[in-house]
Amino acid sequence: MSRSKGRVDAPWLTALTTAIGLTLSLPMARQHIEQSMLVHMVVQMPLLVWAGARLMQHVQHHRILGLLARWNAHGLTGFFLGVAVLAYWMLPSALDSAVVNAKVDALKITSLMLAGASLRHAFWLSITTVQLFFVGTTVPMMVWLGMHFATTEQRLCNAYSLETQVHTGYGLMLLALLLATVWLAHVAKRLYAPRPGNLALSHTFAASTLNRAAVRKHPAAAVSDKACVR
Amino acid sequence: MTDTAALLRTFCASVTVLAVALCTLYVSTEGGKAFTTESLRRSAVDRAPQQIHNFALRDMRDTPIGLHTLLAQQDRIWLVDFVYTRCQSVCSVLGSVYQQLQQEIQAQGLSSRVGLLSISFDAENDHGQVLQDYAKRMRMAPDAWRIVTLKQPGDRQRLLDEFGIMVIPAPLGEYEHNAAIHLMNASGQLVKIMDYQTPALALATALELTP
Repeated sequence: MSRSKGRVDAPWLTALTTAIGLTLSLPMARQHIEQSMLVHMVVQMPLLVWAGARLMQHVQHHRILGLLARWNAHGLTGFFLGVAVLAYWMLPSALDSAVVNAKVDALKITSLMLAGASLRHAFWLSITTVQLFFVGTTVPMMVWLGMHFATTEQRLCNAYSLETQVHTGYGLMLLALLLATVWLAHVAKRLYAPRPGNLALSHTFAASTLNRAAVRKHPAAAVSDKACVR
Repeated sequence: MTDTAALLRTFCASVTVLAVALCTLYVSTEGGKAFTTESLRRSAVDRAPQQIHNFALRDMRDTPIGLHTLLAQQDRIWLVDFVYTRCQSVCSVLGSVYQQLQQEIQAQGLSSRVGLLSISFDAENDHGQVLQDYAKRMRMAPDAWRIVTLKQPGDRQRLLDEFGIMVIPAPLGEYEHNAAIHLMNASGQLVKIMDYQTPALALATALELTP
């Protein structure tokens, strides 16, 4: 949810998601992700992405984000980066390596948190249509993969049993459904917000400039998507 | 003008991100062909035979024997699988696959060209007597099918790593592991990994590889 004037609610939630996400890779709690593909893929990995996104929210007014936004018109670069990282960690061979190799696991943590931050930034900078494109490709990708995991007779990860792979399949489909619902609720809230001006965020300066320019040139753009009017 | 510049910069950045992402995916899936560790392991062996260490083994009479000595006894291709005798699930399927293969080898008189070798990775439990019982249960013919285990249980991880086997604990004290038929030659090289679901194909491939 977009917030105005730098108020970030629930810093404890950011701390909690980050802590759980990181702890699951530490020796003391590692057996959970080693034994259960569900915990690895449907609990830890989304937590890391979410933690990255929440951390981004705490630095939303940093000057560097304004500079990055100049390379991230409509959030396109951010979306490509985020979705590419997510797609990579859906590879069964990548999951296996993260289980057996600590270096790969560290790379997984870093890249997923970065993906979360990158997607958060992209969502701020993008209009609903652009979001629809990326949500509309990622959600089906997760559903398809979930269906494949839940139905195939073949063990796809050497590190995990067929049983936990089936659970992961259903977990991924549920997660995809949840993401789609959250995004749709967010869009509905934006569309019916009493004052679109509420949505403006200082750091999205570059994007709002772009949008304002678009509206100036094509007034219809403002009507086609209320989110354009910042 | 600002928006055009921003769009251009974004275009360059996005194309770079996409190019790096596609290259990474291409390399890590071997050109979109291998999505699992198992298929990566098989294509690595296809590209170049893997020399396997001369592990110290012992047979069902508890006689020590080196892996290379065992494989070199006759110049034949060995169909190697990994088992543990307490197994109720996939290795018992492998057991019956090996029984079929043994029948086939005996019926066609191929035992001078191909051999079957089961290696137990559960050295603590699978001592000589247990292996003998297993051999009896499976009706192993000594000239066609041999079973051995590690002499030192401590070698287990190295053995599994060299073959690319991942053993994970399963309920009821069992193990789950990627099961396959590993084709090895007399000089101790792993030359091919085949599905255990298609034993006839594995046998035919072994015969092609025989000198």
